Amino acid sequence: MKNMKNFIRAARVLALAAMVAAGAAASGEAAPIVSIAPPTQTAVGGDTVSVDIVVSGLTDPIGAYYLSVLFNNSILAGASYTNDPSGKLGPLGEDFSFGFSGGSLDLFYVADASWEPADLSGAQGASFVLASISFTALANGRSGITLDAVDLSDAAGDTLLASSGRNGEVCVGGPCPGDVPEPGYMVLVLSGVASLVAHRRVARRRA
Amino acid sequence: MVRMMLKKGVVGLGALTALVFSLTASSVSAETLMMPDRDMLKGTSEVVWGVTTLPVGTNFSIDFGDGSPVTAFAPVTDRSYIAVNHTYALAGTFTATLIVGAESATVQVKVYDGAALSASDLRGLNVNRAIQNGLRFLWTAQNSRAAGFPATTTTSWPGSFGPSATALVVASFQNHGYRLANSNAAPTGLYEKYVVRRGLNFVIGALSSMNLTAQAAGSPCVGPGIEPAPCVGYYLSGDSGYQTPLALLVMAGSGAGSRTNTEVAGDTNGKSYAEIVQRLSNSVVYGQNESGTGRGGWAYNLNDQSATDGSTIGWVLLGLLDAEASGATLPAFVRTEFAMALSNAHNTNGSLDYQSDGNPAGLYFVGMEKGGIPLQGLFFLGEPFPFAAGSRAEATVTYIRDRWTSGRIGGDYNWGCSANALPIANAFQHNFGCAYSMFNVFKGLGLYGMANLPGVGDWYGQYQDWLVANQTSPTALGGGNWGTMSFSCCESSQAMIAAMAELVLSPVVLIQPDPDLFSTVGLSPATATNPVGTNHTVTATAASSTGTPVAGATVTFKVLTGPNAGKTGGGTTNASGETSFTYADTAGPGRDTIQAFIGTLGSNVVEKIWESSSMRCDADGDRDVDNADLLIIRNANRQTPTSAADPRDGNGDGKINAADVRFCQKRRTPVS
Repeated sequence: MKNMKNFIRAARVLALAAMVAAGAAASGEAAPIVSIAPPTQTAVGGDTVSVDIVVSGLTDPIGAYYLSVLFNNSILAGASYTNDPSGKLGPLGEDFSFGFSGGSLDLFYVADASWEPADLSGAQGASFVLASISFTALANGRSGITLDAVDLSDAAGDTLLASSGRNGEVCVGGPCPGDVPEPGYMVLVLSGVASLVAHRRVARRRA
Repeated sequence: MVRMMLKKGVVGLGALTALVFSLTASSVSAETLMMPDRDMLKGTSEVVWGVTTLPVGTNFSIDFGDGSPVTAFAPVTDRSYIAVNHTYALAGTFTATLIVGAESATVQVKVYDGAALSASDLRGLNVNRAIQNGLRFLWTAQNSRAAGFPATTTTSWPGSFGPSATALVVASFQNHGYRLANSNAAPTGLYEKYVVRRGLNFVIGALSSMNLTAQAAGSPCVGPGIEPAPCVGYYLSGDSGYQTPLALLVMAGSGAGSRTNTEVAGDTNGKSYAEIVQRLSNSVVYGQNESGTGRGGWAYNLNDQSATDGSTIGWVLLGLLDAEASGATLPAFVRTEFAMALSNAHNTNGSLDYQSDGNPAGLYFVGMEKGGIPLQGLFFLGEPFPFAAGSRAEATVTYIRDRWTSGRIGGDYNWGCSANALPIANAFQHNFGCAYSMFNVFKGLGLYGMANLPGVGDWYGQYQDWLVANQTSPTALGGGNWGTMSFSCCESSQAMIAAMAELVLSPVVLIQPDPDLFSTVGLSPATATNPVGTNHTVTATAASSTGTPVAGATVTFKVLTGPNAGKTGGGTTNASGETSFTYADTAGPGRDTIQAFIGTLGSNVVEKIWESSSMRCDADGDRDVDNADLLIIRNANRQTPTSAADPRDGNGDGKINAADVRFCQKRRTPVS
């Protein structure tokens, strides 16, 4: 189980890095992209499953957001969420979220009123984590973690056009029916596994 | 603010009158005219008068329009001044009618109850009355008035120098807004037709031509259509250095550059007023001295190369400033040359030499009579305000202040102004009661827009009050002059004195701005929208018909309607012709309308929309924006606004979403 968690953590880091890189590559685009990271993961019953909601491709800083997240509440139970976990919207951001309700999560967060565009821009850069969410795996099966609605505001209170990026997915007690790994994702998984194996071999030799 | 509002007389009451009524006296026939519309005081005998071209002996009667008996028909004995006294017993607006034979003419009279007015409004009313009574005196004081009415094409007033006296009188009418059209349209108002038109004709008729040659500093032959040197310039002979600038002053002040002289024969016949102004200006430029301590200045005669004459240059400066404001061209060397003259005549104690001695410590026949002239010169040279500490400019302000009530102190030259017996002998000699002194101080301080003189306070208000209090028999048929005043050391013409008093009481230091421009684009911005509780600034711009800025115009601002109605302000236009008025909204949302006035001349009306933050974000309608509103907006997330005015759509983009919460969060009403 511990190895599985390490594997998941490594995969999340790699996936986030890939998404940040993708966001940076797409920085010329006008609309920021909001995605779930990691896009896929596996768990067994009782596990805590965590995802981040990441915005990338920012050219204007964000002053507020509204996110609606859907999931299968027969497979996952909403456990907790944290808006702006890194304080990129200021220390006194205002939380208007409704939270979990059945298979949905409503997140509504407004930046610190005293933070002006320059403050927000300096803190946020081109990409940051809007929110972190934790679920508890309840039963075997596959649950999507889907961005049902995404609204972003700029620092002044004008709507920022945004597009939803990749959604997330959790397989509990896998393999899950219809589980067909995507080639790109397999490359990431294999490179993560290779990295772990190499790390262990080096560690054994030193030991 | 209120004090500024009342500075120029036609303030408050006059301005209000201008809004309510068309101030042009109407006439049923061109043959019978009445005095211009005016303000009067309830319970006070006032003069109601008019003129007719019908023969002497024709019966006339006057209906005062207030329900009082119409006067019994009586034969006209002086058709150029059919005048009676009448006391209006009630306040209100009345239409008085002069009936002569089958002719009639009407005038609007606004009668105020002095007891119902504030002290400042009563003061403004009395200034307005003094102005109208003084202008009426000048009407009566025309040379051969009765004999020359209506046929003569010229008119004049008594004075040692006839054209100068006439120029000053006509300038005083022009500065109160009685001007010819900037075209060849025939004037129709009594003063426009018979004072301004004929007075300008008299001045034009007195002009002579001379050849202007290039001077060491440059050519004086400038301006559109002017031939290269030697060119023809116009001037007034006999103390030409003194008189020519006065002709320039009144011609420039006509505001009728597009008008053509068709009534006066001679060299100027067929010339536009603008060309006459330019050729007069060129003569004055030609007349600038070229050597010695007087270099760059002017003396009694043009180009006489003697020392600069301190009293002459006051007229020159005003003539050139007026000319420039009217759109005439001045060669640049005039100012660089004049800077030398002023430096040689302006003393370190702030005084101005009678004749420049080149010694700033040497006081050559100095006194209060010339106290304001250095300021005129500094303004001409572009000296900025406030003045530098320790400068001669600052010293001049102190010089005037020190002589404000005493007029003459220490070793000041005893000029002998106030030759007529003042109520307080000599106490005010050389300031109050001396028209020349008051005029120059008014011009100097007015050009710099100084509302208060250190140690004196509202200097202009004191001038106004003195002139109102010392007008001679203002409501008598033959009164309205200033009999206790002197013009200068050496002139006692009552017409010239009254003209100077009227110029001091006028709302402009130089010339009236173009009425068409001021009434259409004189005030800006035309519209603006801001949150309630913030400040709003409007800017008045005074310009001639050519667009040249007019400095020294006193502008009063008034919020006419809307939540802030009644707020007022004032200012004097700067070298750019601009002055501004800033006021704070203290009355919540709504639409203010604002207008500026220069005397009775009104600007365009502009609007200010005070938009309550509650209109956009006050979702619960309790006239503030707080967390309750943010929650309401948040709870309406992703709904469609009910209308464009839906307060929940804070940013007005047609959607209710997180951006609106952020928008309104930034506009949360501060907690007091």
